[in-house]
Amino acid sequence: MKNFRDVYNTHEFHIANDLLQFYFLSEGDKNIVKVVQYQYVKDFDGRPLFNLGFGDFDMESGAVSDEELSNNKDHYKVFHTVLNTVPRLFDAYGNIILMAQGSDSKKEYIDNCRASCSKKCGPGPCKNAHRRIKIYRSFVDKYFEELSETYIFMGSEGVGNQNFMEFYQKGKKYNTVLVMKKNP
Amino acid sequence: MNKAKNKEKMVTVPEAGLVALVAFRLKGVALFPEKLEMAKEFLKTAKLKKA
Repeated sequence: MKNFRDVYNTHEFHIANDLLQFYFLSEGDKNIVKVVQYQYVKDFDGRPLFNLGFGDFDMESGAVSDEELSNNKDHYKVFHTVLNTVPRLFDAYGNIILMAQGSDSKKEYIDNCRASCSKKCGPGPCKNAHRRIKIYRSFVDKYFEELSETYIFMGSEGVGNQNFMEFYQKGKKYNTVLVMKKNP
Repeated sequence: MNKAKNKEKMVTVPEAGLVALVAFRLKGVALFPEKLEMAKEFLKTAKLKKA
């Protein structure tokens, strides 16, 4: 997406009409298989919408989890590797919409976090929520002008039951980000 | 913990067999069903505000 150079080698291991999958190996104290998946959800605004999923693959159990906090101290390299798969998504499917949400923005996540709160949030907002989407937002905010030459970004703050998607404005606390290509 | 001890704890991943293993276990499997449901729920009430 931004052509980062310090990234891991990704392996595309599956492509179908509704699913594109990659994996790469995060190296550190433990080698961790990371899986990136784009899954078709439904058509939105007349275009196929794909959802971004990303998590760790546990080779022993066969499970994939997006809630693990690995400690390989390669967060940026991992994040940039995930972002480098985005152009391939648009190359493969053309005029589609990519949607990014954080699993820690789910109501269930926030409810569970509150039940065992260690950050003394009280009645205020959960301090652990929305951290994942914040990473994506920070990236878009930082490179917005450059990225906007190729992509259109929209965002939703998801207030109440109304999920209005608006053209992305830097600095706003969106819980959902949509990405489209300008000239698919 | 020093580097030598860290290396002892490293898991050796058989790189050559990894593609086959990952493909065998994960190929074509929808891996994040909760995220898919979350996306569907969001889209039920999502509207574009283009103005």
